[in-house]
Amino acid sequence: MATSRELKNKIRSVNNTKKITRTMEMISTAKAVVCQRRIEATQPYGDKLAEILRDLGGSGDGLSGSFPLLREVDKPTREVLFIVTANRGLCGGYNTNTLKFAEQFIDTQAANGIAVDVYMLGKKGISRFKYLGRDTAESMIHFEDRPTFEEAEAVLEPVMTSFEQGEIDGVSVVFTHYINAARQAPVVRTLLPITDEDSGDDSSAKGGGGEFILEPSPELILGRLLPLSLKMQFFQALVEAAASEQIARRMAMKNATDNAEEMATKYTQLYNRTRQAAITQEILEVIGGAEVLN
Amino acid sequence: MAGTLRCTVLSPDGEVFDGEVSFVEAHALDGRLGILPGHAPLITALGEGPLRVTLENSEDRNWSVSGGFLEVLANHVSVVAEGLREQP
Repeated sequence: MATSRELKNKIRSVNNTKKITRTMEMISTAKAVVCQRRIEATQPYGDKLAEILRDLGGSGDGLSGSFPLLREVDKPTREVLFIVTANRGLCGGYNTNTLKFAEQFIDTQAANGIAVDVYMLGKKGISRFKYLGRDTAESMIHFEDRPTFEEAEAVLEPVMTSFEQGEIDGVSVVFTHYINAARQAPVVRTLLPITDEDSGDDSSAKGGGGEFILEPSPELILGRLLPLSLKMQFFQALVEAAASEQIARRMAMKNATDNAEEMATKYTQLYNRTRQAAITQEILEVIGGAEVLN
Repeated sequence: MAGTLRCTVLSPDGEVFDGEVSFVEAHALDGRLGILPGHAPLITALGEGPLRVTLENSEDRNWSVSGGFLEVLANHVSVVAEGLREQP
Protein backbone atom coordinates (compact mmCIF):
# COMPACT_ATOMS: atom_id res chain seq x y z
CA MET A 1 0.00 0.00 0.00
CA ALA A 2 1.21 3.47 -0.85
CA THR A 3 2.35 5.67 1.99
CA SER A 4 0.24 8.65 2.94
CA ARG A 5 2.91 11.01 1.67
CA GLU A 6 2.80 9.45 -1.80
CA LEU A 7 -0.97 9.61 -1.83
CA LYS A 8 -0.89 13.26 -0.80
CA ASN A 9 1.42 14.04 -3.70
CA LYS A 10 -0.84 12.21 -6.12
CA ILE A 11 -3.92 14.08 -4.92
CA ARG A 12 -2.12 17.38 -5.33
CA SER A 13 -0.94 16.57 -8.84
CA VAL A 14 -4.37 15.34 -9.95
CA ASN A 15 -5.97 18.49 -8.60
CA ASN A 16 -3.46 20.64 -10.48
CA THR A 17 -4.21 18.81 -13.70
CA LYS A 18 -7.90 19.28 -13.05
CA LYS A 19 -7.40 23.03 -12.75
CA ILE A 20 -5.68 23.12 -16.13
CA THR A 21 -8.23 20.97 -17.94
CA ARG A 22 -11.10 22.91 -16.43
CA THR A 23 -9.54 26.18 -17.61
CA MET A 24 -9.07 24.76 -21.10
CA GLU A 25 -12.65 23.59 -21.06
CA MET A 26 -13.88 27.06 -20.21
CA ILE A 27 -11.69 28.70 -22.85
CA SER A 28 -12.94 26.30 -25.50
CA THR A 29 -16.52 26.89 -24.43
CA ALA A 30 -16.06 30.62 -24.91
CA LYS A 31 -14.30 30.17 -28.25
CA ALA A 32 -16.92 27.69 -29.44
CA VAL A 33 -19.64 30.26 -28.81
CA VAL A 34 -17.75 32.83 -30.89
CA CYS A 35 -17.22 30.31 -33.70
CA GLN A 36 -20.86 29.24 -33.67
CA ARG A 37 -21.87 32.88 -33.94
CA ARG A 38 -19.58 33.26 -36.94
CA ILE A 39 -21.21 30.28 -38.63
CA GLU A 40 -24.58 31.92 -38.19
CA ALA A 41 -23.21 35.25 -39.39
CA THR A 42 -21.73 33.84 -42.59
CA GLN A 43 -24.90 31.93 -43.40
CA PRO A 44 -26.95 34.79 -44.93
CA TYR A 45 -24.08 35.77 -47.22
CA GLY A 46 -23.69 32.25 -48.57
CA ASP A 47 -27.46 31.88 -48.93
CA LYS A 48 -27.73 35.18 -50.80
CA LEU A 49 -24.96 34.22 -53.20
CA ALA A 50 -26.67 30.91 -53.89
CA GLU A 51 -29.94 32.79 -54.40
CA ILE A 52 -28.41 35.19 -56.91
CA LEU A 53 -26.82 32.24 -58.70
CA ARG A 54 -30.26 30.63 -58.88
CA ASP A 55 -31.90 33.82 -60.09
CA LEU A 56 -29.21 34.08 -62.68
CA GLY A 57 -29.67 30.45 -63.68
CA GLY A 58 -32.72 31.18 -65.79
CA SER A 59 -31.11 34.01 -67.70
CA GLY A 60 -27.64 32.53 -67.83
CA ASP A 61 -28.47 29.35 -69.69
CA GLY A 62 -26.04 28.23 -72.34
CA LEU A 63 -23.27 30.35 -70.94
CA SER A 64 -21.28 27.54 -69.46
CA GLY A 65 -19.09 27.09 -72.51
CA SER A 66 -17.45 30.45 -72.05
CA PHE A 67 -16.26 29.93 -68.47
CA PRO A 68 -13.11 28.02 -67.64
CA LEU A 69 -14.48 27.48 -64.13
CA LEU A 70 -17.48 25.68 -65.56
CA ARG A 71 -15.52 23.47 -67.89
CA GLU A 72 -16.71 19.91 -67.85
CA VAL A 73 -14.40 17.10 -66.91
CA ASP A 74 -14.95 13.76 -68.61
CA LYS A 75 -12.20 11.74 -67.04
CA PRO A 76 -10.55 13.35 -64.04
CA THR A 77 -6.94 12.33 -63.46
CA ARG A 78 -5.67 14.79 -60.89
CA GLU A 79 -7.34 16.79 -58.17
CA VAL A 80 -6.54 18.96 -55.20
CA LEU A 81 -7.81 18.02 -51.77
CA PHE A 82 -7.74 20.44 -48.87
CA ILE A 83 -7.70 18.74 -45.48
CA VAL A 84 -8.65 20.99 -42.58
CA THR A 85 -7.14 19.90 -39.27
CA ALA A 86 -6.15 21.72 -36.10
CA ASN A 87 -2.82 23.20 -35.11
CA ARG A 88 -3.21 21.92 -31.57
CA GLY A 89 -4.09 18.63 -30.02
CA LEU A 90 -6.01 17.85 -26.85
CA CYS A 91 -9.26 17.82 -28.73
CA GLY A 92 -10.30 14.18 -28.56
CA GLY A 93 -10.83 12.42 -31.85
CA TYR A 94 -11.20 15.59 -33.90
CA ASN A 95 -7.97 15.34 -35.87
CA THR A 96 -7.90 11.56 -36.04
CA ASN A 97 -11.43 11.31 -37.37
CA THR A 98 -10.91 13.98 -40.01
CA LEU A 99 -7.63 12.46 -41.14
CA LYS A 100 -8.92 8.90 -41.25
CA PHE A 101 -11.81 10.08 -43.36
CA ALA A 102 -9.42 11.96 -45.65
CA GLU A 103 -7.10 8.96 -46.00
CA GLN A 104 -10.02 6.79 -47.02
CA PHE A 105 -11.12 9.37 -49.57
CA ILE A 106 -7.61 9.62 -51.03
CA ASP A 107 -7.37 5.84 -51.30
CA THR A 108 -10.75 5.62 -53.04
CA GLN A 109 -9.71 8.29 -55.50
CA ALA A 110 -6.41 6.54 -56.11
CA ALA A 111 -8.27 3.32 -56.83
CA ASN A 112 -10.29 5.23 -59.42
CA GLY A 113 -7.11 6.43 -61.06
CA ILE A 114 -7.21 9.97 -59.71
CA ALA A 115 -4.02 11.40 -58.28
CA VAL A 116 -4.69 13.58 -55.27
CA ASP A 117 -2.56 16.61 -54.37
CA VAL A 118 -3.02 17.12 -50.66
CA TYR A 119 -3.10 20.66 -49.33
CA MET A 120 -2.86 20.16 -45.60
CA LEU A 121 -4.09 22.77 -43.18
CA GLY A 122 -3.01 22.42 -39.56
CA LYS A 123 0.06 21.06 -37.78
CA LYS A 124 -1.64 17.89 -36.61
CA GLY A 125 -2.44 16.72 -40.12
CA ILE A 126 1.02 17.62 -41.38
CA SER A 127 2.78 15.56 -38.73
CA ARG A 128 0.45 12.58 -39.18
CA PHE A 129 0.97 12.49 -42.94
CA LYS A 130 4.71 12.82 -42.42
CA TYR A 131 4.55 9.89 -40.00
CA LEU A 132 2.53 7.78 -42.42
CA GLY A 133 4.81 8.68 -45.29
CA ARG A 134 2.01 10.20 -47.35
CA ASP A 135 2.79 13.09 -49.65
CA THR A 136 1.49 16.58 -49.15
CA ALA A 137 1.78 19.06 -51.96
CA GLU A 138 1.35 22.08 -49.76
CA SER A 139 0.98 22.65 -46.03
CA MET A 140 -0.32 25.63 -44.14
CA ILE A 141 -0.48 26.35 -40.43
CA HIS A 142 -1.70 29.93 -40.32
CA PHE A 143 -5.39 29.14 -39.87
CA GLU A 144 -6.37 29.42 -36.23
CA ASP A 145 -9.75 29.63 -34.59
CA ARG A 146 -10.67 32.80 -36.50
CA PRO A 147 -10.09 32.20 -40.21
CA THR A 148 -10.74 35.29 -42.32
CA PHE A 149 -12.27 35.49 -45.76
CA GLU A 150 -9.12 37.11 -47.14
CA GLU A 151 -6.96 34.22 -45.92
CA ALA A 152 -9.33 31.68 -47.45
CA GLU A 153 -9.31 33.65 -50.71
CA ALA A 154 -5.52 33.75 -50.85
CA VAL A 155 -5.27 29.98 -50.43
CA LEU A 156 -8.00 29.07 -52.90
CA GLU A 157 -7.18 31.46 -55.72
CA PRO A 158 -4.06 29.71 -57.11
CA VAL A 159 -5.91 26.39 -57.05
CA MET A 160 -8.82 27.88 -58.98
CA THR A 161 -6.37 29.17 -61.56
CA SER A 162 -4.80 25.74 -62.04
CA PHE A 163 -8.29 24.30 -62.50
CA GLU A 164 -9.07 26.91 -65.13
CA GLN A 165 -5.83 26.11 -66.92
CA GLY A 166 -6.63 22.43 -66.89
CA GLU A 167 -3.73 21.39 -64.67
CA ILE A 168 -6.13 19.80 -62.21
CA ASP A 169 -9.63 18.40 -62.73
CA GLY A 170 -11.18 18.91 -59.33
CA VAL A 171 -10.99 20.60 -55.96
CA SER A 172 -12.45 19.16 -52.75
CA VAL A 173 -12.26 19.93 -49.07
CA VAL A 174 -12.33 17.48 -46.18
CA PHE A 175 -13.37 19.19 -42.97
CA THR A 176 -15.46 18.57 -39.90
CA HIS A 177 -18.96 19.65 -40.75
CA TYR A 178 -20.80 21.46 -38.00
CA ILE A 179 -24.26 19.89 -38.04
CA ASN A 180 -25.35 21.35 -34.73
CA ALA A 181 -23.87 22.04 -31.31
CA ALA A 182 -24.01 18.36 -30.40
CA ARG A 183 -23.06 16.77 -33.72
CA GLN A 184 -20.07 17.25 -35.98
CA ALA A 185 -18.83 14.82 -38.57
CA PRO A 186 -16.06 14.79 -41.17
CA VAL A 187 -17.33 15.31 -44.71
CA VAL A 188 -15.90 15.90 -48.14
CA ARG A 189 -17.27 18.79 -50.17
CA THR A 190 -16.54 19.15 -53.85
CA LEU A 191 -15.91 22.74 -54.90
CA LEU A 192 -14.91 22.06 -58.49
CA PRO A 193 -16.05 20.99 -60.99
CA ILE A 194 -19.31 22.77 -60.31
CA THR A 195 -22.23 20.41 -60.57
CA ASP A 196 -25.53 21.34 -62.14
CA GLU A 197 -27.41 21.82 -58.91
CA ASP A 198 -24.80 24.29 -57.66
CA SER A 199 -24.99 26.47 -60.71
CA GLY A 200 -28.70 26.89 -60.18
CA ASP A 201 -29.95 24.74 -62.99
CA ASP A 202 -32.82 23.29 -60.97
CA SER A 203 -36.39 23.81 -61.97
CA SER A 204 -37.32 26.33 -59.25
CA ALA A 205 -34.81 28.78 -60.69
CA LYS A 206 -36.16 29.11 -64.16
CA GLY A 207 -39.34 30.84 -63.08
CA GLY A 208 -37.86 34.01 -61.64
CA GLY A 209 -34.68 34.31 -63.61
CA GLY A 210 -35.77 35.91 -66.82
CA GLU A 211 -37.33 38.96 -65.25
CA PHE A 212 -34.14 40.47 -63.95
CA ILE A 213 -32.30 43.34 -65.53
CA LEU A 214 -28.71 42.18 -65.66
CA GLU A 215 -26.06 44.87 -65.60
CA PRO A 216 -23.63 45.00 -67.30
CA SER A 217 -24.09 41.51 -68.79
CA PRO A 218 -25.02 38.04 -67.56
CA GLU A 219 -21.59 36.74 -68.57
CA LEU A 220 -19.79 39.35 -66.53
CA ILE A 221 -21.93 38.79 -63.48
CA LEU A 222 -21.58 35.02 -63.64
CA GLY A 223 -17.86 35.38 -64.22
CA ARG A 224 -17.55 37.23 -60.94
CA LEU A 225 -20.19 35.39 -58.99
CA LEU A 226 -18.75 31.91 -59.51
CA PRO A 227 -15.34 32.55 -57.96
CA LEU A 228 -16.88 34.48 -55.09
CA SER A 229 -19.31 31.70 -54.37
CA LEU A 230 -16.51 29.11 -54.38
CA LYS A 231 -14.40 31.19 -52.03
CA MET A 232 -17.37 31.60 -49.74
CA GLN A 233 -17.96 27.84 -49.65
CA PHE A 234 -14.32 27.28 -48.78
CA PHE A 235 -14.41 29.99 -46.13
CA GLN A 236 -17.54 28.50 -44.58
CA ALA A 237 -15.81 25.12 -44.42
CA LEU A 238 -12.95 26.71 -42.50
CA VAL A 239 -15.30 28.47 -40.11
CA GLU A 240 -17.23 25.25 -39.47
CA ALA A 241 -14.02 23.31 -38.90
CA ALA A 242 -12.88 25.91 -36.37
CA ALA A 243 -16.15 25.62 -34.46
CA SER A 244 -16.03 21.82 -34.52
CA GLU A 245 -12.48 21.88 -33.19
CA GLN A 246 -13.44 24.01 -30.23
CA ILE A 247 -16.45 21.86 -29.46
CA ALA A 248 -14.33 18.70 -29.67
CA ARG A 249 -11.77 20.24 -27.34
CA ARG A 250 -14.44 21.29 -24.89
CA MET A 251 -15.78 17.73 -24.77
CA ALA A 252 -12.30 16.23 -24.38
CA MET A 253 -11.44 18.64 -21.60
CA LYS A 254 -14.73 18.08 -19.85
CA ASN A 255 -14.05 14.34 -19.81
CA ALA A 256 -10.54 14.96 -18.51
CA THR A 257 -11.87 17.19 -15.73
CA ASP A 258 -14.46 14.60 -14.74
CA ASN A 259 -11.83 11.88 -14.69
CA ALA A 260 -9.53 14.00 -12.56
CA GLU A 261 -12.35 14.62 -10.12
CA GLU A 262 -13.01 10.90 -9.86
CA MET A 263 -9.36 10.14 -9.31
CA ALA A 264 -9.02 12.80 -6.64
CA THR A 265 -12.02 11.35 -4.76
CA LYS A 266 -10.57 7.84 -4.99
CA TYR A 267 -7.14 8.92 -3.76
CA THR A 268 -8.61 11.00 -0.93
CA GLN A 269 -10.53 7.97 0.29
CA LEU A 270 -7.42 5.84 0.06
CA TYR A 271 -5.43 8.49 1.90
CA ASN A 272 -7.97 8.65 4.72
CA ARG A 273 -7.99 4.89 5.02
CA THR A 274 -4.20 4.75 5.22
CA ARG A 275 -4.15 7.50 7.82
CA GLN A 276 -6.81 5.73 9.91
CA ALA A 277 -4.92 2.44 9.65
CA ALA A 278 -1.78 4.15 10.96
CA ILE A 279 -3.68 5.65 13.89
CA THR A 280 -5.28 2.33 14.76
CA GLN A 281 -1.88 0.69 14.57
CA GLU A 282 -0.39 3.26 16.94
CA ILE A 283 -3.19 2.89 19.50
CA LEU A 284 -2.79 -0.87 19.43
CA GLU A 285 0.92 -0.48 20.06
CA VAL A 286 0.30 1.90 23.02
CA ILE A 287 -2.26 -0.47 24.54
CA GLY A 288 0.09 -3.43 23.97
CA GLY A 289 2.91 -1.55 25.66
CA ALA A 290 0.71 -0.65 28.66
CA GLU A 291 -0.39 -4.28 29.04
CA VAL A 292 3.21 -5.40 29.24
CA LEU A 293 3.91 -2.91 32.06
CA ASN A 294 1.01 -4.29 34.12
CA MET B 1 -40.44 60.56 -51.47
CA ALA B 2 -42.85 57.77 -52.06
CA GLY B 3 -42.44 54.93 -49.60
CA THR B 4 -39.36 53.07 -48.58
CA LEU B 5 -37.49 49.97 -49.58
CA ARG B 6 -35.72 47.39 -47.49
CA CYS B 7 -31.96 47.21 -47.70
CA THR B 8 -29.66 44.46 -46.49
CA VAL B 9 -25.89 44.80 -46.62
CA LEU B 10 -23.92 41.58 -46.23
CA SER B 11 -20.20 40.97 -45.90
CA PRO B 12 -18.54 37.56 -45.65
CA ASP B 13 -18.30 38.07 -41.88
CA GLY B 14 -21.99 38.71 -41.40
CA GLU B 15 -24.85 41.10 -41.79
CA VAL B 16 -23.74 44.70 -41.62
CA PHE B 17 -26.98 46.54 -42.12
CA ASP B 18 -30.63 45.68 -42.45
CA GLY B 19 -33.43 48.20 -42.43
CA GLU B 20 -35.90 50.44 -44.22
CA VAL B 21 -34.27 53.06 -46.39
CA SER B 22 -35.39 55.62 -48.91
CA PHE B 23 -32.43 55.58 -51.28
CA VAL B 24 -29.43 53.40 -52.12
CA GLU B 25 -26.50 54.57 -54.17
CA ALA B 26 -23.86 52.09 -55.25
CA HIS B 27 -20.90 51.97 -57.57
CA ALA B 28 -21.62 49.40 -60.25
CA LEU B 29 -19.02 48.19 -62.70
CA ASP B 30 -20.16 50.59 -65.39
CA GLY B 31 -20.95 53.60 -63.29
CA ARG B 32 -22.98 54.92 -60.43
CA LEU B 33 -26.35 53.46 -59.71
CA GLY B 34 -29.17 54.92 -57.69
CA ILE B 35 -32.08 52.86 -56.45
CA LEU B 36 -35.38 54.33 -55.31
CA PRO B 37 -38.41 52.47 -53.98
CA GLY B 38 -40.22 50.49 -56.65
CA HIS B 39 -37.16 49.71 -58.73
CA ALA B 40 -37.44 46.88 -61.26
CA PRO B 41 -35.70 43.57 -60.43
CA LEU B 42 -31.99 43.91 -61.09
CA ILE B 43 -28.76 42.05 -60.59
CA THR B 44 -25.52 43.90 -61.04
CA ALA B 45 -21.85 43.47 -60.24
CA LEU B 46 -20.27 46.13 -58.06
CA GLY B 47 -16.92 47.75 -58.70
CA GLU B 48 -14.77 49.57 -56.20
CA GLY B 49 -16.37 52.62 -54.72
CA PRO B 50 -18.69 54.06 -52.15
CA LEU B 51 -22.02 52.63 -51.09
CA ARG B 52 -24.45 55.12 -49.64
CA VAL B 53 -27.73 54.34 -47.98
CA THR B 54 -30.16 57.10 -47.04
CA LEU B 55 -32.32 56.22 -44.08
CA GLU B 56 -35.91 57.30 -43.62
CA ASN B 57 -34.86 60.22 -41.42
CA SER B 58 -32.56 61.31 -44.29
CA GLU B 59 -29.44 60.33 -42.40
CA ASP B 60 -26.74 58.66 -44.49
CA ARG B 61 -24.74 55.52 -43.88
CA ASN B 62 -21.59 55.09 -45.94
CA TRP B 63 -19.35 52.16 -46.74
CA SER B 64 -16.58 51.61 -49.19
CA VAL B 65 -17.10 48.48 -51.22
CA SER B 66 -14.70 46.53 -53.38
CA GLY B 67 -16.38 43.95 -55.55
CA GLY B 68 -19.56 42.08 -54.92
CA PHE B 69 -23.14 42.14 -56.13
CA LEU B 70 -26.33 44.04 -55.74
CA GLU B 71 -29.73 42.51 -56.23
CA VAL B 72 -33.07 44.26 -56.30
CA LEU B 73 -36.13 42.09 -55.92
CA ALA B 74 -39.61 43.05 -54.71
CA ASN B 75 -38.53 46.33 -53.16
CA HIS B 76 -35.68 44.66 -51.33
CA VAL B 77 -32.08 45.63 -52.10
CA SER B 78 -29.42 43.13 -51.12
CA VAL B 79 -25.80 44.14 -51.29
CA VAL B 80 -23.41 41.20 -51.16
CA ALA B 81 -20.02 42.83 -50.84
CA GLU B 82 -16.71 41.08 -51.26
CA GLY B 83 -14.75 43.68 -49.35
CA LEU B 84 -16.54 46.16 -47.12
CA ARG B 85 -15.43 48.96 -44.82
CA GLU B 86 -17.66 51.33 -42.90
CA GLN B 87 -16.97 55.00 -43.39
CA PRO B 88 -18.14 57.77 -41.11
